[in-house]
Amino acid sequence: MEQLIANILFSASTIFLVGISFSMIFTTARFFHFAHAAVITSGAYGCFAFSQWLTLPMFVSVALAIAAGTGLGWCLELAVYRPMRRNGASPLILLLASLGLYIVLQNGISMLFGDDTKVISGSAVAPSISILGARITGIQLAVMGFAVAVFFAKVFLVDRTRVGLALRAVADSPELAKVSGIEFDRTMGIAFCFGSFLASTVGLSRAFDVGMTPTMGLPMLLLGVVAVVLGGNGKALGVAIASVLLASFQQIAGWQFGTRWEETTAFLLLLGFLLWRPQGILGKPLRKAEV
Amino acid sequence: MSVVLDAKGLEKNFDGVRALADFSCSVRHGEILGLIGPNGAGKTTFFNVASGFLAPESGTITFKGSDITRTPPHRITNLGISRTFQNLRLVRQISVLDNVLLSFQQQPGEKLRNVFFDWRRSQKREHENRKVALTLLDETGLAQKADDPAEELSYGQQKLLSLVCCLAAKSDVLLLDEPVAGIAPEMTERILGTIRGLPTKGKTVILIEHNLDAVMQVCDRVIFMDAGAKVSEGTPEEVRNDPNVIETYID
Amino acid sequence: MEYLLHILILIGIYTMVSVSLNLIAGYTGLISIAHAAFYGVGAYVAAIMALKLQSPFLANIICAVLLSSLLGALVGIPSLRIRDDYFVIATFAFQVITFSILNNWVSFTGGPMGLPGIPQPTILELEISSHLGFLVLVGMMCALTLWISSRIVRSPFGRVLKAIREDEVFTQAAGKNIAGYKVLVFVIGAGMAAAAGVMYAYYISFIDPTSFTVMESIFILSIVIIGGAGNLWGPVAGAVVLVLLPELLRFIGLPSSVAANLRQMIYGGLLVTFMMWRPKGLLGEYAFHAREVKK
Repeated sequence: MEQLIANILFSASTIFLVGISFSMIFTTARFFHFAHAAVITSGAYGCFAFSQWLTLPMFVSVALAIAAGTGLGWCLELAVYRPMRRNGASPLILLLASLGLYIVLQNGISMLFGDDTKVISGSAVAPSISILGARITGIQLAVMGFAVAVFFAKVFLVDRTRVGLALRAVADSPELAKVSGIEFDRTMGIAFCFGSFLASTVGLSRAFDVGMTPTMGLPMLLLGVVAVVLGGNGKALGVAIASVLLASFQQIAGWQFGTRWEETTAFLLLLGFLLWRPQGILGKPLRKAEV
Repeated sequence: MSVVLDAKGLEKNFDGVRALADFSCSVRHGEILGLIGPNGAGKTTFFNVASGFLAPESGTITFKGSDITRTPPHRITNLGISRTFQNLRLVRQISVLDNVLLSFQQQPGEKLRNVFFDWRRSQKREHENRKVALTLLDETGLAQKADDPAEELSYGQQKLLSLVCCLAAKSDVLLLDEPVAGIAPEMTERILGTIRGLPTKGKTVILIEHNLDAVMQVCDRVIFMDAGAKVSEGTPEEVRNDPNVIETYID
Repeated sequence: MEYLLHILILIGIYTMVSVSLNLIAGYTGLISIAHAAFYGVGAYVAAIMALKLQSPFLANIICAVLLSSLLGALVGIPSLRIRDDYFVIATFAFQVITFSILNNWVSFTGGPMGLPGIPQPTILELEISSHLGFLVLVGMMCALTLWISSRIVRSPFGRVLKAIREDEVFTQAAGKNIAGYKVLVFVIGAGMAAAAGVMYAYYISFIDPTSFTVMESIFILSIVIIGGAGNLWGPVAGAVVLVLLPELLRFIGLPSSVAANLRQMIYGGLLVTFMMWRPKGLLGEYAFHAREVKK
């Protein structure tokens, strides 16, 4: 039982981090940036490349990998989304483009590194500690701590500083934000940087925890998206609650029916919410069509 | 003359704003009723409720005696009420003629089974509808543009087209939302002329307009709305001279 | 020569499946990433029936189409309540759930091992055992699919579909029950995709869940988009380009795993390129403009 709770908390932490990273971009840029999954994966493989191929010390590799992942996300915004936005691309076109980007990036990683599961050797197999009867590894503990830190950072630092307000202004009303002098493009860039920073960090931590594959990012992203939709308003609290809810459903279903049904559970939950409570747990009920 | 559309005690709220405040009105067969008032008075909200796009919190609307308060929009059109939109809706990518053809009701070819099992009946009706459509377009001076994409028409022509679509639907009641707003005088005359001729064809019209000259020319009766409520009702002259109305405009 | 026939058969099958998605996404504007689910269910139903019931080809294809159409309705109904971007996510969810069921319900579907040994199709006493024979069959099915699509698109029904794509509110105001149309187009699209799936199952004679993943759905959508959404011949152009292009890689002699990645990168890259510079695709008419958003 304690193990189940520990698993739920760890899983919820990962989902929360991915969800927040996605939501920062989604609420600001207003489209589903699917290629975010590749940014997650790139954090892991970046570290692999720096530590195994270039044999750089682990700390350096980690830092560089996160920087590279952040840079990747930012480049996608600069090179692809921004010009498309200038041309008046609709959210649908951006979504489709980001699907294409994901495919290109994921296959690129496959080609460079192969499809087998890789582990970052040189990081000692993290000894698992026993806390209150549950076994948790060092990296898992680190992730959970990070998630809590990010939660408070988001609520108290990001949301209340100038940057946070700018992000929110752009999210709520892009036209107004442009007029009021908030640098639209720069704010968009910041959103992508923050989101990609978090994403590559999570990908990296997953690699340390269980290893990496080129397609690892997509299921992680999807769970994050589910948490954001379930949460309702993209704010830290909503995503956090939804992450715990989702992780609980998944772990319990996995425990009862077998882990292979975990993904199905997540998506059934998503469908349920989309159909019967599309505003999510904390969102306001949507207004009817403006005619 | 019988009452054709009857609204009683409509209430509609949006996030605390009372868009319709116990609003009632009735329209008699063959009359042209004007709905005027400042922006935000609730005129378009009333149209949205009457055409089924919004459900009121309370109150009822009946059409020819039947309750249509919660009837969905497409059913209301089937029953005989059609409307135009303040922000001018049309299917811009298809031709002018196709927009009109779309507006005909009960075209058998719109049922999937007829597409495959009774193609001839659908083609026959399509042929008949085409003739009527071209006649309507001709009467309103749009026949030249029949095969052009709707988006290539001028703003005024597009407004006229949306009126033609309502006529194609053979509706008894037409709800026209700002049919001449932002239109040059010549086109305004053409549209108003068409509207004026509608009662002789047995149609009833409610129109929302800010252009008070147009309203004076064309309407038999006028209702002045403000903040969701009816402030004044009567002939155009009566309403224009109503002190309540003048006061609202001065505010 | 056999190789050429193989390519043509693949082009035929992919044309069928993308013509069906074109009706849903290209003409009605309902972007869906669930199409591989319909395609896969069609393949699996036919395969299971052929293997476990030894039923004839015609019965199998009819059942496949009917069951997949039912699934189509299931996917179409939520489109009435969920708006655009979120609807795409919902179709994603359907796709993943369907894949999961195909992959995990081992007793029924064979799970990851798949279903091998699907027999040759027999139609009216004639067993189709050669590539050429199969090409004729696929060609006929493909022609039928195109005819159905053409009939729909040129009819008043089709006019309503296009209107829904451009302005739902206006279409409702014109008296059309858009809910019915949306569900129907999913039903037809799913049924047609199932027929393509049946062709695939009989042709390869072995199916497993990995042919019916989200990636496959995106591939089919790419064919529709690159070929040109909302145009009758768009899917044909798209299928030709997206089936042929990766095949050309064979002649460069790359190791097969790299070739597989490269193939995907090509259509991923094409997708991005077209979205950036020509969303209409090669032949298309619909450029995925922002639809009216329900607030």
